[in-house]
Amino acid sequence: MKEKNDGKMMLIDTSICTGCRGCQVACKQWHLLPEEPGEYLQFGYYENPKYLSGITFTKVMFREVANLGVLKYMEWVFFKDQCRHCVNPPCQGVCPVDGAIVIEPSGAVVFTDACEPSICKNLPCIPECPYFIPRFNAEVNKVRKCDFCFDRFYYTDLGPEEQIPICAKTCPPGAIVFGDTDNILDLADDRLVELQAQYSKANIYPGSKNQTHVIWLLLYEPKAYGVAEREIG
Amino acid sequence: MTNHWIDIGNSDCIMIIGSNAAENHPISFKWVTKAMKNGAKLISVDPRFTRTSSKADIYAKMRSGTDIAIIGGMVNYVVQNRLYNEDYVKAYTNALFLLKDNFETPYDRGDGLFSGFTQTGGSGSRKIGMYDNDSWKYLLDNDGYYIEAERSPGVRLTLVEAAAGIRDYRYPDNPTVFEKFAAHYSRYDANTVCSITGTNPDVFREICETYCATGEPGKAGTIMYAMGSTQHTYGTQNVRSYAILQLLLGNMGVAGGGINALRGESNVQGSTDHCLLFHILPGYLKVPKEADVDLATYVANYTPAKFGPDELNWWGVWNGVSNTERYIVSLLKDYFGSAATAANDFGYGWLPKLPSDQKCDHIGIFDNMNNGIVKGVFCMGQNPAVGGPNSSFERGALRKLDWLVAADLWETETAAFWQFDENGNPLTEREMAQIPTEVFLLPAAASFEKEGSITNSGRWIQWRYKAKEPPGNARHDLGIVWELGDKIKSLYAGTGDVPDKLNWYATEPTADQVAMDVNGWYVSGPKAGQLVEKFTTLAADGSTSSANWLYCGSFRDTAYPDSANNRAKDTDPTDEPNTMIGLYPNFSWAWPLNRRIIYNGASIRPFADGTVGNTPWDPTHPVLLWNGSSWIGDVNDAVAAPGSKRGVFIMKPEGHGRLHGFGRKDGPYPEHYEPWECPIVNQMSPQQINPAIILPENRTPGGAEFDIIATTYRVSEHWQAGQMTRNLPWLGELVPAVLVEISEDLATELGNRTPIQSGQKVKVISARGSCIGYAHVTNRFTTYTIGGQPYHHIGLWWHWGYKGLFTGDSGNMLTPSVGDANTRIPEYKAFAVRVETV
Repeated sequence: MKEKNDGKMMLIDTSICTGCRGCQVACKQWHLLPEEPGEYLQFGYYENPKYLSGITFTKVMFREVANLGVLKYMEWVFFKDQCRHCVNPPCQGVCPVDGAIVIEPSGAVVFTDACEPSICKNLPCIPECPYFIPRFNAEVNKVRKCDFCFDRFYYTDLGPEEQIPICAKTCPPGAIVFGDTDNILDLADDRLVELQAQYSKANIYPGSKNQTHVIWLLLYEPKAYGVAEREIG
Repeated sequence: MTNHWIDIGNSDCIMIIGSNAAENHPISFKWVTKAMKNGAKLISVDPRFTRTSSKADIYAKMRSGTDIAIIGGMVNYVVQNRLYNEDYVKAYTNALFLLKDNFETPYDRGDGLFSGFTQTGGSGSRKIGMYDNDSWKYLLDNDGYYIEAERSPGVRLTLVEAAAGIRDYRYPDNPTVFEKFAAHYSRYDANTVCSITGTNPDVFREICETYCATGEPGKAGTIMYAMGSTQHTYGTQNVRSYAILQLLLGNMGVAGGGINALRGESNVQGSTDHCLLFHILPGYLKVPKEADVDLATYVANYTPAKFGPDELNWWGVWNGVSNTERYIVSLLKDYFGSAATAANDFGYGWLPKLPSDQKCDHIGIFDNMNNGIVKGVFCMGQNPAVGGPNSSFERGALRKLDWLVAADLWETETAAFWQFDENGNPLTEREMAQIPTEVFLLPAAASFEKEGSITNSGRWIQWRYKAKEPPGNARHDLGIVWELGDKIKSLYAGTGDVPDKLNWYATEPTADQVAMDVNGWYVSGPKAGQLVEKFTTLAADGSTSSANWLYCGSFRDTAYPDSANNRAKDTDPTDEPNTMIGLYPNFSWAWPLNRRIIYNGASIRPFADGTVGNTPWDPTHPVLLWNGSSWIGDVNDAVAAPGSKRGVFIMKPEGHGRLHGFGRKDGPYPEHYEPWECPIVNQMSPQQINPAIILPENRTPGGAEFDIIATTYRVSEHWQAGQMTRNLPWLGELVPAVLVEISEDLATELGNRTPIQSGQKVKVISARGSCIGYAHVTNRFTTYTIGGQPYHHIGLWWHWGYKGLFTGDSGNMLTPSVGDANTRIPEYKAFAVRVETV
């Protein structure tokens, strides 16, 4: 077991996210993933596709929080769902295939082309994930998910400012911040104090913040955002 | 924008009204977020809770089309509670100017009209007519100068005294602007306003308190607005409301202030600067009317006399010559080159003249198409079959054309109108064959396949380079237009007709060549062959040319014309060192003269006697600083030295900001009227609609069965008429279909025992057509209580059409072809519908 969360971290500040979904498009563009068909938006919100999938590695969830008083009678909250990149990923622990799930120096948990469903048979990585992230892509017969754009760190023609996940690079208001672990944790703590002055329930998600390489600043409890609340056991 | 994008970050309070900036100008939120991290408050005023509202401290709901009421209520709140910046208002606005004794407002008359009205049509509560604005003008002294009200010799009135009706000791019969203004706005009390707008009174009070706190000297509030403000029959007056509020609070000309129009496309500002619109020539010169028979008449009619001895009056006479004349002559020299001489009025006679009954605006052009007067249309970068008002009508009008040329990236709905009926249903081969129009489709280059400048909302001119060649035979607009001009000129060669006179490029020009011609040249004299340095060196004798005076100065080292000297290409990210407010003077170039905040003289605190001072209102965000001998910081707006009496709003003949104006067709102050089509009776006066609009031809508003208020808008994920986004699978995935957003109450009403659910199809019907979309049941729309009665309010998207990968009905099949009294922009934003389940 790793004790320390070293490498890189991503902070997604939902108090700044405007739900524009530039991150969703940028992800599909960088990974050259096809679109998912759909007629209407999902869950009664501006959401599509309905779920993460083997061809959709990140999506923004929209939820309405009602009855918040007179001045702002409701809240419309946005949660960019994606792999948390656990420091000790449970998916890796149950994968029987060597090299199918590797951890990059950045901390990225990457499902590689070594993934071989014919060996593991029942894809144990999928139910093992506490956040319901990995999905099976039948077209390529592999399990797929967010890879933290680990390959961008290997493109030497990209400057240091470009060697970050494409979603963080794209985000217009700067809600997605990427950097060294210590800096990001300090930033998150400072911002949490600011937000708690106005939002008493503001919190850092997932709660055990040094166990994942991706953390979120939430204004309300996680269930208001529609996200899984299970912690890593 | 009077200010610019980065400057939003300097604000103490941001009010976003008539705009959904988070969705439609996503990058603006980089700067809104910056301001909020520094403690700024964000107010979102919108008929619907949007993604912008989700980030706001306060969300105020407001029925579509009631901006004048809600802002009027805020203006009244400022006046009643004396929250204005008194020194600013007295020094920089016309608040204390004397008016004529026969000037009347709806407060005096009770009929919703101002003095000078002559009815020409309509009846009852829907009178239509024209104003003679003579009674709105200032009382002038024998020299033709304005008079500022004094209580006793040398002592000016206070604003409280003026509002209370105390008058100048010399002119007991003449009211001050502020007396008439305060009385007019006294009718916009909180109860009346909230009864009109449907805003919760507690929320209304909160936005008044929060926003009007920026009236404190040194504080800055900004207003961000877009098409939600302008696309009304009184859109111009909506925007004037914002300007009035900002003047009262001292928010014009300061960092973090201003009124900031968020332009709907990356280069709308540039295209407007270069005369996209029918009523202006490049640089906002007036389009000649039929009555402007020759150059001398034109110059006389558009060279204003100054209203004060110290005023600069920029469109007027400066150093002995009219600036208007300098700019129009230099423009004519660009248009007609050596054919333009003093002897032939520099070719003024060859310009087309606007008839008094003009039908040259978008609505008029389509009426003329439908009436068989317009026979051919060039349609570049526009898709009216989706984006035009009453789009089914416009699709039908296209069928009357002899020919249509469409230049676009894809075959748009407009280019393909002949394959579908007006409602977007495919036609049979036989039906298509009956449409006589010959249609040409020119493949065009996309933004990254061509080079040139774009001018952003903040007036920054930035160079965009070509990243790749356009595919196939696709061409950039410059090439298409050049070749067209070349062909036309060859057809007219030797005839002496206007195209023969036109100064045209012998070979296809580069974008840099055009940029140099826009900047302008010395065409004779000692500097002949050099670029002009700035517009103050333009001449009225034909010795200079410039295709747009506002862009003079966009090249450096003008003695050595070189594309490398194009300042639009500058990318130095160093801030201006004295002010450090994010001006970045060497990153791109801004008109005029690289000035980043216009009217920036108003950022200086005046001396007690109202003359130009020497310190900024806000020393932590200075725009200008006086170093003892000159102004440093931003490029100063021709600000005089401290102690001068010259006003800081130099484009106005009186040098002062206009709380009271007389240049608009529909009144000196904004007055609340209802949209042309609206189920609600005007509570403010017996006049229901803006009396100065032109009524649509042969069209009447929908009747009582259309009792739901509707509006249209865009989403982040799609772009305008949808060609560039509905053909992209990734964006189509995000938003695959047209939604109709409705409240839970309306969903209950429409349902049979159980409310209808999100995802169910509904049909929205107006007097003009119907549109099918998926219902989107949300708390973000709620029932409005207007005048004690409940009303439903819905909204729908208009990006859709019958071509492309993702298709659907455009919301514009419902919108009316009726325009603003001043600009003729269509009233897309407020109309009446009913809704049925499908």
